Amino acid sequence: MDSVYIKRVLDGNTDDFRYFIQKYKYLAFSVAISVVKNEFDAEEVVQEAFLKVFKNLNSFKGKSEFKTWFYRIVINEAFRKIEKSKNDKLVLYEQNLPEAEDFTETFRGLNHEEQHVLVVESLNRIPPKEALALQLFYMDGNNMEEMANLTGWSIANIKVVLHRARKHLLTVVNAKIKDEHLILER
Amino acid sequence: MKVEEEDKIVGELMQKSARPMPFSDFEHKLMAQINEEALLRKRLKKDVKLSWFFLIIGLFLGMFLSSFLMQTNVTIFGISVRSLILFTQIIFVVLLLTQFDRLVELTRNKE
Repeated sequence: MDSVYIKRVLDGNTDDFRYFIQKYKYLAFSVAISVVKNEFDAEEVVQEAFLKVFKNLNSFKGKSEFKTWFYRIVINEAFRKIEKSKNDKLVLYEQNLPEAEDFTETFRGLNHEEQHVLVVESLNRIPPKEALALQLFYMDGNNMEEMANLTGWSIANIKVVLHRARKHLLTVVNAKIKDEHLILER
Repeated sequence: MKVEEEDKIVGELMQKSARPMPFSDFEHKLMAQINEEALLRKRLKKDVKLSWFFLIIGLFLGMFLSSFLMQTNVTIFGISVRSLILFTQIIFVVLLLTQFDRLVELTRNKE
């Protein structure tokens, strides 16, 4: 279906680009926010990514799926965005984290909204690369090979990042449940 | 905690992480930008066509005028027409060398 709309847009039917926006905006937003950590920056990233897609649609040769190509653009834009804002804000992520205890019972005892806030805040406190790996693996259902294709990381690297990401998330959630502050921001 | 256990718990946590897009006018704003870009591209396409047209017209007109004026012995403010032609030819070559690749690049991009 994507290829039909690509052809239509390239033939000058600009309004048909709406199809891509409607189909991929949520996916793009969730990937972007996992990296940039804030809604406004994520919106900007997604906007930039769609514009880039529109400008370069004629260079898409169909060697990979459109979704893969688009994902890559969103990921690159998101990392470019945080690279730019690094100058304005210094964020330090805690690296040496204690082993997480089993908090599942406490977590399950929270209501849906509390669980959501807790997880979102915890994801905001782990490094962008790790949050992205969790998003791609657990939420978007990509396997290691697909992740390697999307991010340009090696499979060995993805395994390491995913391992660290799991540990990080569990530790931060655990600490938040205990009301500890694990991140130093200045 | 074992790896399998971690994997299961993280999977469960991540299911709670879905964040809806909060900007209801996102599509509208983006389509406005896309349409603007399309319009700009259309204009560029037209400008590139016109650039080629005037380049070719100018080239032939310049060649015709040069060969025509070469046969005369007119002077303008004491400068012979031959020197003026040489001067304009140098300008033409410099412009061609510096601008032609840009025009070719623009033509390729619009395709």
